[in-house]
Amino acid sequence: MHIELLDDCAFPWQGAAVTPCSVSPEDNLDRWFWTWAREHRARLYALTRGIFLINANGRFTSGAHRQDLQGMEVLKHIRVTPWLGSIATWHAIVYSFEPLDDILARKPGDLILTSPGVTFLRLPVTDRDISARCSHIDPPPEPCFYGVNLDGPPGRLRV
Amino acid sequence: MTKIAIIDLRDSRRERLAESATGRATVHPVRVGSVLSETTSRPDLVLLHVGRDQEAAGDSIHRLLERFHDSLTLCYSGGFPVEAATSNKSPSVAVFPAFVEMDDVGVDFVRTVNKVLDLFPQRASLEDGWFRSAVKGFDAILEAKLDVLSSILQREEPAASRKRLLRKHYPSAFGTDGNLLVHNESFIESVGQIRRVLFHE
Repeated sequence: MHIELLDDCAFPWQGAAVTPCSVSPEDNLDRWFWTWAREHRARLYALTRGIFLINANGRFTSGAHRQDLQGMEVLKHIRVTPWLGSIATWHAIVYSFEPLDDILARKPGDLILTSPGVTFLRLPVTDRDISARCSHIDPPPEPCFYGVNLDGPPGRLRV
Repeated sequence: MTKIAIIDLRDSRRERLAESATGRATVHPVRVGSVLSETTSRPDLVLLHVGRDQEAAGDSIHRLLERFHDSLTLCYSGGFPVEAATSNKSPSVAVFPAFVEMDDVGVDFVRTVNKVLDLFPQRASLEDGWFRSAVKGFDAILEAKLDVLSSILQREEPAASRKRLLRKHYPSAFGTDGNLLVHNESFIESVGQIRRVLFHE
């Protein structure tokens, strides 16, 4: 199972081979995501299955604070980008030092954290915790919310 | 290009702020507001030091806020801001909720200024309170918690200013030597313990 890391940090449990994402000097997360997706699309298309590891408090642009929860915005971008194909449906393990309740109280729009296809982990964790989670997910994959159904009522998500 | 006036009697802080905005805006840094000429009297954004010593240097914060009522005014101080700033309810006036020290402006304040500069061109399509929420929505203690925990989990030294802030609010996470209670032999457990202290668990 391929693990795709979306984090600006190199935590020890992620393994030495995993490289953190680059941080854009421009303060534009949409552009960061577009650049990332274009750069990695071909590589990720070649994989049949994968899991995203996402730091909810990741900083992907230089002007961001950790409390901005850019990792959550990246996850939403992944789920609603149709040209990512099946990559948009990969399971996501999202991790943070903040409690889930605090995140949802601060940003109710991040309810995607509780949706099918997303596992929330509280840091700190060990590499064994991650392995255990990944082995639980593969197989079978959980269905997840992805894509925007443009033929239906505005903003309705399809499973 | 966006026009910024910086009014701050502290030279190092004023210069550092001017440096960080150069290239993104036309910057007019001055020691006191009264020396700003009429040609620069209508900046888009005013970075206004609202500590007591600014008033002691000859500025009336109340008058400056009135004078720049057509501009966005981002107030800050290294100590306690004067009441004229904190009691101002105008949507175009906001007080940064953390200290901006005179010898270390801090990355958080610079990021907040940059955020305002990014949003400024889109202001017509933003809700009325966008400026205040961009400035006042920042939680310095939460940011310090997240940044310090990320640093120690990467086995890096957290920023001194972050540690100082947390030590003031969460002394039990620190040893008598002023360092966070991280034990190499039980590293993950000790990071977890610090997290529990910081998030009141």
